[in-house]
Amino acid sequence: MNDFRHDAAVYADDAEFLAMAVPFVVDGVERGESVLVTTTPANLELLRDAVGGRAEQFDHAETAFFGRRPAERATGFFRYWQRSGTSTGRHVRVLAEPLWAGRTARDVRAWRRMESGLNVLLADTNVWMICPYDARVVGPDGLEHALRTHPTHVRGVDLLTSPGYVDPREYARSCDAEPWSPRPTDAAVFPLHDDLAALRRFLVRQAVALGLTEERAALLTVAVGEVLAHLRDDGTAALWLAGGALVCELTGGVTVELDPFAGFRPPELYAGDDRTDGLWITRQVCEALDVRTTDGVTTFRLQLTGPRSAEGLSRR
Amino acid sequence: MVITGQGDPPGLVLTGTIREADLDRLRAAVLAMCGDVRVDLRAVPFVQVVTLRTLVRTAAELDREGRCLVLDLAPHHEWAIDAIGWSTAPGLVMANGELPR
Repeated sequence: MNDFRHDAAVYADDAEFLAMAVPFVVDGVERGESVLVTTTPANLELLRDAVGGRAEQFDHAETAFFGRRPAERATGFFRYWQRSGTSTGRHVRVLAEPLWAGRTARDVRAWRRMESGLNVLLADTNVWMICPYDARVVGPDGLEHALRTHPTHVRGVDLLTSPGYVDPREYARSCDAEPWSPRPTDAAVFPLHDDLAALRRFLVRQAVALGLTEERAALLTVAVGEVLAHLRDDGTAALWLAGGALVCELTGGVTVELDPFAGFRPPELYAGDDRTDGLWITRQVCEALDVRTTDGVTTFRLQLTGPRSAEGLSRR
Repeated sequence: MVITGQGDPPGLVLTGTIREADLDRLRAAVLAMCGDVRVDLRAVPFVQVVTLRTLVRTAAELDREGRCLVLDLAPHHEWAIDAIGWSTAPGLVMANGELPR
């Protein structure tokens, strides 16, 4: 299909937002194309008021709830495309404005990395995505990165090439160059060359000792299992708590070089990359999955919601 | 990977480590059974997506013969197959891991 289009759109006020969003949405609706808008509640209200009778003819999601983490967001886009039909001659339109306010530098880097990765992950789809950037919220640095992660941008309905666009894998490498904090010296460590049942017992025992429930510890083993598919047994597993999260580090030689965007697209039954798409499960279980290779040794760092997280309480 | 046959109900119990090189043997063992086939993976420490994919594809093969594959997984692996969207695939029945064998 290879008809993916990924535009940034910088706007400075409501009028500029509508000048870009209204024709994009209305034109899509009139062509009978699927249209998804995921932006702030304020922008959703603006758009609905502006399109009048078309207000109930597009799909919508408050952006904070359309993928809490980058891998969930990318999955949401892919599944929307799968659900909306993949017929040729039409686009599946997505207006997607991530939440940028209040994020840590690490979060922002992860979301920008995903934005860049969409150029790879959705390359074989007919999605036409416009990503609005509110200049009142996103600083000059953020606007510069928008043009590095989107090959084109729009002003109103005018299409322009992004001069600073960077190849997604190169962009990912620059994100992944950020140094990690070292593994604590008192972290519990277990060799990977022992039998896997013993490794699983170690993971569950340590995760529970660090405060996770048995259920969360079991999910950790699911996440780890997919990583093990890519590691030789010459390394170690280690667990510790940091920054409110449980960190699980797996290290060793890799069996195959990993694409930086491995695990962002859900596994498919009769297509997809058998070798790496299991990492999608790891990314769904984890808050973050980072991978680094130094001197032939690859390290996977899995970060899970920590034992004192209360986020789930409001849903029970 | 060790495959142990079981007669009542007819099925296979898997233990040990399932590697990619084992998957053809696993598929063949399932297809060689008669009637509906129960596959118990609760004792496998790490069940990877590549294994689940093989089982779900094999379930589709059974389905074309009017049979089904009853998959007996630990709850966390049931979560995984459901998250991917394969738990309702043709020919596949999830045993919940808690039903009496």
